[in-house]
Amino acid sequence: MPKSQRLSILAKIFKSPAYIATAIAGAAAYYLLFYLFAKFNAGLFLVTVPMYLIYFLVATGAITLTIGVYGVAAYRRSSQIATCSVSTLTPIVGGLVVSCGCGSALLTPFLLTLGFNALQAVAISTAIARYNSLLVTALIIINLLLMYYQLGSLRRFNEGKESKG
Amino acid sequence: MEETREERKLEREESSNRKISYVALAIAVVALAVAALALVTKPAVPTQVQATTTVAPAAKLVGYNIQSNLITPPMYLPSAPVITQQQPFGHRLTNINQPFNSTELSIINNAPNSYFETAGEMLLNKSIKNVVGARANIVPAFIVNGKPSVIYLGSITCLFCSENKWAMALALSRFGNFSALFKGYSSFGDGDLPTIYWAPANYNSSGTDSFGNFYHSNYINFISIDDEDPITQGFNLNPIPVIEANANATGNLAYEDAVSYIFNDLSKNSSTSFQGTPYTIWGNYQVGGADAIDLGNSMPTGNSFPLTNMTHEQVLSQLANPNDQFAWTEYAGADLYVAMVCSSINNTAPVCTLPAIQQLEKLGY
Repeated sequence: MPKSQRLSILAKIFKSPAYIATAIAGAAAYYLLFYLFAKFNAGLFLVTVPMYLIYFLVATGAITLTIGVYGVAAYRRSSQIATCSVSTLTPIVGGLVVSCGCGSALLTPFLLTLGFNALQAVAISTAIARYNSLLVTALIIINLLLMYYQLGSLRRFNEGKESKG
Repeated sequence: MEETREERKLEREESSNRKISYVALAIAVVALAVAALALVTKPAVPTQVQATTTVAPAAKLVGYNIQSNLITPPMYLPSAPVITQQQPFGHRLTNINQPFNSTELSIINNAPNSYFETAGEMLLNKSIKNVVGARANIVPAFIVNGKPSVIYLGSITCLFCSENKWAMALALSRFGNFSALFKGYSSFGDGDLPTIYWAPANYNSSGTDSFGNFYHSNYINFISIDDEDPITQGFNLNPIPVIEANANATGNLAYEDAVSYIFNDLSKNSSTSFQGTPYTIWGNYQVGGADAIDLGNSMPTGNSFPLTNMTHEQVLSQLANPNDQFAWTEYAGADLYVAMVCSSINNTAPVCTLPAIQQLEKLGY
């Protein structure tokens, strides 16, 4: 499918003030979620990855959410709910990832509650801290892939409707 | 016919996508619920000077009582030399591994008790703006050569270890003195904070640990283990089996048993288990995390910290003449540790007669 068709659908969505507002609201909500989780490092907003990664994560999540909302509203495509759900998870996971570190992280006590022993919980938390930039980058890529899938799905559905006349 | 097949294909696709959607939605709802539960059950900051001590189940914990030399490390590491060039804050390693000079040592060793008293009073009347407070658990003392021990397990890369070492050094100075301390930094990814190293650190290597220090006391032992990883990266901690193996490789009973005490004995209980650095034991008190968050004159709201932009000399100058929240917080954090040690040694040291320390002991420290 030509890239321009996906881009044209994206442009169509973001010509509407309603969807622009949806994206802004989504970005604000996602950033708040991320902030709450990151602040669990003893109350400090201690972000150990470059902030631009965080902004990309929030922005791609918000765009994914907006495309999903458009798909549900314009075409009653309930399949878009899946991508909305995943876009909600990525800032939560992102916040967990950046909250791992030497302090009283959220993840370690949570893993202990789940039944991991101290060695295992600390090993997991430390490994996440070590690769946190890579993990956040992976979450951004997931959001971008979701956007690509969503737009393709909308294009195919749109063509199907047009062919029926 | 073709259109019907196409329509049916689209309907099947829509049906399976719908099922995937509902599963994904359910997962997202569960994830949000779990996240909300985790947020509610895990307090974000230690409560400020409340009696947060809890008693670990003593029946399950066994103390140690051993005879052993302690480790005196080398004063200089050829593989990790002092860096003399001036570097920008945030990516700065200027003077890393440099020993404190006599004046700088004296600021720590000879800090007046009156500073500790003033900071203690400020803490008790809630004049300290930074967070000071510890979740401490009462545990059996780790006794070496007839004296209880202060045990520190941290990482040179770790932000909270680094900012709290100033308070730790001040606290230890009330019960003995340091013949050497060294200038250090936390990792670049963890604030690049100016800090103290108990011994010169292998700041370029991974998989190693620094054991030992230059502390001397008639009241307590100081057993220090600083995990080492490349300082120019982010926070890192060697796997626990690696730390244990490194401790065993020293051949020093005190350090071998101290590591075993933390990972094999105390970590059997969820309240005293090792969950990250710094992890300290002050006589009969195990403390998870730093007992104070001191990165400037108030708690930072953003992702940059005033302490990152300070030199060691500036920190020491403030400790020598405390007149701001940063300096008083260091002494207040030290006071909590002092109270724990005083309680553990039956108040036999002169600092234990300070009224503020006695008040803190009554609060449960």
